[in-house]
Amino acid sequence: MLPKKDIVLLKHLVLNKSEEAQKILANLHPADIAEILDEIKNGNKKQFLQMLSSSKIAEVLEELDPSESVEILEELPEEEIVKILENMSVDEIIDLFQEMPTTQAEHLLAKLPKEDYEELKELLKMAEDTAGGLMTTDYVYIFADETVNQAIEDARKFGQEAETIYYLYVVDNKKHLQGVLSLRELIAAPRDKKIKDIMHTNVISVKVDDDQEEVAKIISRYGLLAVPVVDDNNRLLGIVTVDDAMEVLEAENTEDIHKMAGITTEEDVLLNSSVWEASKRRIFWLIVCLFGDMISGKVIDGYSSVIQSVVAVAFFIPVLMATGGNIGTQSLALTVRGIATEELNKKNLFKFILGETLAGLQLGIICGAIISAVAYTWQQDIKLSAAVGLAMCFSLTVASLVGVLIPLLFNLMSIDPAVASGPFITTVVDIITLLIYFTLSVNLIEIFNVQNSIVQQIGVIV
Amino acid sequence: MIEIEKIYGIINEGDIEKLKNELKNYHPVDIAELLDELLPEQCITLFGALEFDDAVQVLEEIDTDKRYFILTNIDPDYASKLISEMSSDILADFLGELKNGERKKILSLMKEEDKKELKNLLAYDEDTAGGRMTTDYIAFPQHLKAKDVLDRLAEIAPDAETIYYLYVIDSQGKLVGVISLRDLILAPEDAPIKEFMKTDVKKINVSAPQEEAAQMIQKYGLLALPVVDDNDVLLGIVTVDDAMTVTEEETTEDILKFSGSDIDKTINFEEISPWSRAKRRLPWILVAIAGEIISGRVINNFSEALQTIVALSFFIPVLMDMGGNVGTQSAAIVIRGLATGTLTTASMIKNILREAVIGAILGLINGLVVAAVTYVWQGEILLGVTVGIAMAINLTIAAALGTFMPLFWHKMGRDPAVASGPFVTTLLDVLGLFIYFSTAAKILKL
Repeated sequence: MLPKKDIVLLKHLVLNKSEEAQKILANLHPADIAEILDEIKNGNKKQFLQMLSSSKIAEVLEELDPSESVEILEELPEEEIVKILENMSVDEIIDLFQEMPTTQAEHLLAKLPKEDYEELKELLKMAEDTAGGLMTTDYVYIFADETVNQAIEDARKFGQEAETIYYLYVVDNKKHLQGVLSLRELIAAPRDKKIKDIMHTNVISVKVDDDQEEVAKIISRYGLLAVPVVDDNNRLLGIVTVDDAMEVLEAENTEDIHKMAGITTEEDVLLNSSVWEASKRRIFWLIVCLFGDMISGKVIDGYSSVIQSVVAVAFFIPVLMATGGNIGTQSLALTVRGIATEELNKKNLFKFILGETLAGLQLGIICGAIISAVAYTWQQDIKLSAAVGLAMCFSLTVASLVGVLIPLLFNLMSIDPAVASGPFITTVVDIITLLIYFTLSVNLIEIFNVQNSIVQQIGVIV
Repeated sequence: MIEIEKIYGIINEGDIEKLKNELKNYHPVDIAELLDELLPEQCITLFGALEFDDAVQVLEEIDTDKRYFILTNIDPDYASKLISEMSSDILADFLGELKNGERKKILSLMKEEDKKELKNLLAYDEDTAGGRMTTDYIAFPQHLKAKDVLDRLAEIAPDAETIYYLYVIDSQGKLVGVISLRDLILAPEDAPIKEFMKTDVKKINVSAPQEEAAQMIQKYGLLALPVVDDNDVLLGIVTVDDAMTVTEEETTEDILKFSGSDIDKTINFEEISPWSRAKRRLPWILVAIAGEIISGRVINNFSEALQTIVALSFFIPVLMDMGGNVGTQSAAIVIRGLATGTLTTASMIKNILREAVIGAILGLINGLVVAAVTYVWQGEILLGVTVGIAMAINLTIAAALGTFMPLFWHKMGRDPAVASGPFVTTLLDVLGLFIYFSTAAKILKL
């Protein structure tokens, strides 16, 4: 990562069209250039890009979000765009085309060399978030009856273009995937051995329509550098590499965290998008919760006579609501993450639910004891103190259970469990908490009143 | 996927040859998972049927207890051979997790030189690049030619964690360059590596946090990142698969901390003791309770107003919750932005202002909606105005504060995810209620 002051200096050099800037830029890693590009105002980006070669621009664009890349490309003349596209790998071009208006994408597609054209057209048909949408077709394949020596020659010949040459895929003449060999094994093998004698035939592969998250998990699970993508007939269509998998994982993690906070978003674009766009992604769950909270208001309304007679009942609404919400969100976080990493499974599910409920109960007992002591010291009212303490205890137990069960239920119904966001859980827990609290208050106050009147009656009799 | 029943059957038959053949069809990662399903003695039988290379990989995948059980229940010579082939970072973690007596037992199975190497690794903090690195990398002196390197590689290839990057060091062990195996293959055989190595090597200091290593690996699309000391001497490498693990662990940590649970990187879902779960969550809950009692005091100060217009209390939940929701949203965006490196504290003020604008937009929309609902429900126009204005102000502050808190923690060198959820929410509740009742007092002239 570049220090801030270097970026500022470079920006200055570039804007003054200094030759030095050109030299520096040529030696920078594309990821760093992308970072600088981020810092430059839209109008000045064109000038900046003119200092770079088409191949360098291609590398830089691969580091950016496709939506940003498209914005940048729009500033350039068409022949320059075509030149840049020719230098990009197939999977990256697809990502860009998917961000463009269809007519523009088709127009550009027609300008690209014939062999790319056919391939891209096929790839464009695949859904963006599947293995097919993620894969590249720039891989190295070899044949089973080649020798090690021939295979190394193949790797040399096709290696320049390929996304990775560390895995060589063995296919027959109809491109059926037969085996795989790592470059490491190839190098260590005697040069005159046949590939079929040393290749692995149990190839871990993914189907072209598998979800991209599944693909990323498989790469991570088996510690692969790339995974082959095949169709239903086991024909090799492309590969997904580990760097793409990391990006998918990171994007999915971001999505999970944002969803948990009640933000509907697909990518980490929140920090760069317009304030309107950012607001739009957050408003949905807020409005849902707003109406949910109105139910809480109705609950209070239903018991407003209690507040009118004992106003102190209202003082403990915040602490009960907030603590319930906090506990519910904690259980939710555990559950959602457990589902995402698949650490939570059928085997430990029951234990987990039970454990969370008991943990909620224990937290309820502790917090209930504390809050009822505080309530008594503050208000000197034993009825109120009992109601607050008991309500806390019940509410936290229920909150914990709700935080676990709702995402599990969503998962069971094949809805993304992260959709059960913190705000949503909090709203549900609030309604329940207030119901418990007011029911207890009314009943306890009545019980005590009855007791008091009994005591009084006894007093009268005596 | 493995057919467990089939494997059970074969183990019970006791036909080792058949088991050996069957296991050849499975990936070591899947076999490691299978071991969880088996009885201890079945594990030993199955493990004995594995080929050496697979056995090493399986050992690297299974958990500490199982690994210890297997290593201490098979032939010591074989165990010793397996251990010396295991990757040094996994071995270091393994030894770190064992009890004293157990550790001695495992150490006694190890070769002297391996022990020394491990001792060095164990000295680094778990969460640093040093704690994550493996020492099984390949380095060459710079005077060699492409062909020499290729020939030497053929001999050492099976041992190293990754051979796809070859590091070039000088006589003092300082990192001077890197060549990828791809460049090596593509280079003319008689080219000196000095000529085609890359000298601008991405590297990381041994004491840097592990997330930084993971972020660099991702940013530059690397398969491995060299770890150096302050003098640039090459000490080890962090590989891309470790980077993926780090990313996942850090995300888990962030999510849990964000919700106010103090918890390790991996969740132990088998952990049955509810008390140990409750304990991790209690501290921030207690802090939040203390804060919410202040919220109660705020209401107390306005209790006369409340008694005059009891309907004011109906909107306490919606105002409290909405503030908390917006604050949490903002905090989540910042925490994730900091974790992925897309956000820095450099433009802190700009970001807070930007979020405040978003908060104001959200506040206006929600304020209008809630004012309308209030009016329809209660038939009081002034009450509707009160609730609407309080909502607008609350959400603006919520967004700004939700952005500020994690950025502030980060700037102070603390983990921004720590309890941002409960902490921000509590603070907002106190502020929100105060704003609400003050607005009510002004507008409704209480």
